[in-house]
Amino acid sequence: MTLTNELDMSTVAEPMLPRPFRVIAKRAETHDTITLDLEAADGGPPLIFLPGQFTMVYVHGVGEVPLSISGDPEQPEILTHTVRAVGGVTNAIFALNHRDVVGIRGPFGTSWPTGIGKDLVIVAGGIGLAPVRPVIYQALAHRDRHYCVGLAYGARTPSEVLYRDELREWNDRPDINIEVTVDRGERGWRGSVGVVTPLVERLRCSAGEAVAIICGPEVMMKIVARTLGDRGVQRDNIYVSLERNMKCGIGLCGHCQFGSDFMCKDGPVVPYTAVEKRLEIGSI
Amino acid sequence: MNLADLRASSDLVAGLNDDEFEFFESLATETTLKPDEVLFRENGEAKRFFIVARGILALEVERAAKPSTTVQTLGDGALLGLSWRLTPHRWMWTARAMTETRLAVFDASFMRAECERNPDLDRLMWKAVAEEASKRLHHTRIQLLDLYGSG
Amino acid sequence: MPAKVVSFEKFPTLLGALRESGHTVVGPTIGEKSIVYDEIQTIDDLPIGVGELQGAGSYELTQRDDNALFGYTVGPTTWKKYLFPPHETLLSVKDVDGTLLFESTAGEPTKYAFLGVRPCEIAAMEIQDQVFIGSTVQDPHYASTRSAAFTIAVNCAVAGETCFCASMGTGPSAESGYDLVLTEVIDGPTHEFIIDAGSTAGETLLEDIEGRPATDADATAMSSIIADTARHMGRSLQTDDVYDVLLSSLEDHNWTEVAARCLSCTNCTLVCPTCFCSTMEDVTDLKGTATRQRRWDSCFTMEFTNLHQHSVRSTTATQYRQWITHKFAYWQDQFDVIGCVGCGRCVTWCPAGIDITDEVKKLQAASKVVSV
Repeated sequence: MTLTNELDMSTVAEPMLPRPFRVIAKRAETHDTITLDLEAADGGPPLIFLPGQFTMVYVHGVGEVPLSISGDPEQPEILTHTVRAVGGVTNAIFALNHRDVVGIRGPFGTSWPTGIGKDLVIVAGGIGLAPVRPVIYQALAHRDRHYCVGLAYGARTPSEVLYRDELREWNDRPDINIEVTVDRGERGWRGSVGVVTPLVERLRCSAGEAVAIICGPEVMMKIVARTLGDRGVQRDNIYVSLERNMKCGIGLCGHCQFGSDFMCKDGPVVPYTAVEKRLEIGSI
Repeated sequence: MNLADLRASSDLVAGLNDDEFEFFESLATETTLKPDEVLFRENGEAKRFFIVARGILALEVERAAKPSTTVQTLGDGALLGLSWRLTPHRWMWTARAMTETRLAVFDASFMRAECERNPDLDRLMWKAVAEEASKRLHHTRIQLLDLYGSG
Repeated sequence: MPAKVVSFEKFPTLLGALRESGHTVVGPTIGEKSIVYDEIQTIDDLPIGVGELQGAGSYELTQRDDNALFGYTVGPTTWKKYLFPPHETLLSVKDVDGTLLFESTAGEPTKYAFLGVRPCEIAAMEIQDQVFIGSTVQDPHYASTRSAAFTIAVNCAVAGETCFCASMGTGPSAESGYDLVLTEVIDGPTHEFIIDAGSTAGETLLEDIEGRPATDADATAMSSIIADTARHMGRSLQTDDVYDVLLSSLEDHNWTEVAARCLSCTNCTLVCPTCFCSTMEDVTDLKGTATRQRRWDSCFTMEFTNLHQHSVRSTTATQYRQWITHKFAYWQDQFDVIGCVGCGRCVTWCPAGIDITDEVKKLQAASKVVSV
C-alpha cells in the first residue's frame, strides 16, 4: 500500500502507554490542594522536563488528567505535582496515599522561556504558582543569568497561599523579590490585600529588560499581560500558560484545540501576542 | 518634603512639570507611621490627603462583632484619601499602617483653594483623583470575580 | 504494466484473488436503507444496479436500469470505521504486586481490502494519515491497519447532488494513493472495468485477473466518463479565500443564524471522513483490570471543551464556528491542506439540511461587503 508517510513500524511505540510512578511524599498545601512527590516505579529513568511542561496523570480505574510539573527541573528523580481537587480524577489524586502508584505520560508541551540575560518577572495567581515554581528553582540555581528576579503572587485568602514555607525562605533571600497579596484578608494577615498587578511594580525589575511569565486564571493573565505591556514590558517578552481540556496530551484527540493550536503541543506556554486576539474574541 | 523618590512610584508626581513639582514639594510634609498605627478613621473629616512613599497601608472597615476587615492595601506611590476632593469630604474607610510607613502629607483645604485659583492645577488633581478611583474600581471588580476560587 | 479491462462476468475473480491473498474484503453494501461499508463475500453483496438520490438532509436509494456495481457515490459510513474505529482498546492496566502494569493491546492488524474507495475518500485517508501517522506522534493502531490495507479505488461515474470534490481538487478521479483503480464502463450490452495498478502489490494481483489490455478507446471512454462526472457536481465551492474569510468572520453575529438551525446532533462529525476527534475512557472490571478505550468524539458536545465545571465552547454558535473554521482554516495551519474533501456527507446527513457550501458562501459574500 502506498502511504504518504512510509513508516518503520519497529520504531513506533505506543504513545498512550503510561509508566508507573509511586507516591513518596504528600504535603497538604490548603484545604483542597496537595503536593505529591513521585518516583519512577518501573526502575526506568527519571522524567526529565522543562519548566512549564505537564504530564498526563492516571489514577487506576478513575481516569487521566493533565497536571503541570511543579518541581525542580534539576532534581528530576523526584517528579512533583501540585493538585487542586476540582473534579473526579483530581479528587482521586487528592485522596492518594504514600506508596500508591499512578500512571504518568510525558512530559508534554512547550516550556517557559529561560530569559537568560533578562530580568525575570513572574506573576502568578492561585494554583498558577505551581507551573511557575520550576522557573524559580531554575533561576535561583543559575542566578547569574538575570539581573533582577521577582515574583508577584496573588492568592484568594492567606490560608490559600501555596508553598508558604518556601515563600518565606525566598523572601529572606536578597537575590529575589517576593510580593504576595490576597483577595480577602484574614485575621493576622499583615500583607497586601488586593489584586496582584500593583505588586509587579514593587518588584523593581526593569520593564524594558524584563521577560514576563504569567500564570493563573485566564482573566488574570489577560489583565496582567495588558498592564505589563502598558508599563513598558516588551510585548514579545510576555508569556502565559493556557489550560484546555485534554484527553490524549499528544495532539490526536482534538480536545485542546485553541484556534490552530493544539495546547498540548503548541502550548500550554505561549507568547501573549500570539493568543491575545483569540482571548479577546472569546470561546475560541 | 523631598519628593524625588516618589517620581518612580507615583504617576501623579511623575507627571508634574518643574513648577508643579516645586509647588508640591513646598506643600508636602512628611509623616511616618509605626505598624498598626491608624492614619485616619472612617467618617472622620478629610482634612488631608496623602501619597505613600514607602510601606503598606490597609483600608479597613469596622464591622459589628467581627474584627475589622481589610478591603484593600495600598503601597508605594498610591494616592490616598480621595475624599478630600469629593463632598462630603469624609473618610470612607479607616487607614492603618501594616508596616512602618512613610507618607507625603498635603493639606486638603489649601489644595482645594489653590485649585480654585489655578485651573491647570485643578485639572491635574482631578485627573489624579479620577485615575486613582478608576484603578480602585477596576481592581475591586477583579477581586469580586474571585478568580482563584474553585467555581 | 498497462491497464487491463475486465468484464463484469470476470469481476468475481478479483474478489477471489483478494480473499486468497488473505484479505478481509470490505466495501459498499446495502444496510439500513443506505449504502454502508461492510464485509463483502461475493459480488451479490455489492449494491448491483442500485443508485441514489441525495440532497440537503435527504438520502434515498433508487433502482438503476443497469447492473452497475458502483452506480452511486458515498453513504453515511467512511473508511475511518476500519482505520480509526469508533471504539478501540488501546491498553490494559493491571494492579499487580503493589504496582501498575501497563500493556499495549495493539495486536496483529486485520488485513483489509478496501473495495470501492472513492477519490475523495483517498484524499480523506491521506489527510487522516497526517493526523495519525504524522511528523511528531504516530498511532500504532492506525499505522498497522493502514499499512496492511489493500486499496481498490473507483473513479466516479456519477456525481451526487451534494458532491463537490471537483471544487476541492479531490476527484472525481484518483491519481494516486491506491493499489488498484477501477473505472466502470457500461455501454449498451458492454459492461467492463478498466483497472490500473498504482503499486507493486496492485500489479501482482492484477496479473492473475483475466482480462484484455486496455486500448486508446478505453482510455477515451474513461476520460469521458470522468469529465462528465466533473461537469455534474451537485455543489461547488470557491476555496481561494476561505482561510482569510473564516479567520475574519469569528465575531458572534456571523453565527447566530446557523446556530438557530443547528441541533448540535454531531451527525456531520460522525459521517465526515476527516474528522478525527476522540475521547479516552478508562473502564475497570470488578477484578481490578482496567482498559483505556478510545472512542469517537465530536466538537459539538457540551463536554468537549469542559474545563472546571464550564465549557469554553458551550453554545451551538461557538461549536459550529469551531467545526467549519477548523475544517477550512485552522486545518491549513495544522496540516497544510484544507480538511474538507467535498464528499457532501455532512450536507446529506444533517437533519436540519445545513449545507456547508452555502455557509461558506454566505461568509464569503459578507466579507466582501465589509471590505468594500
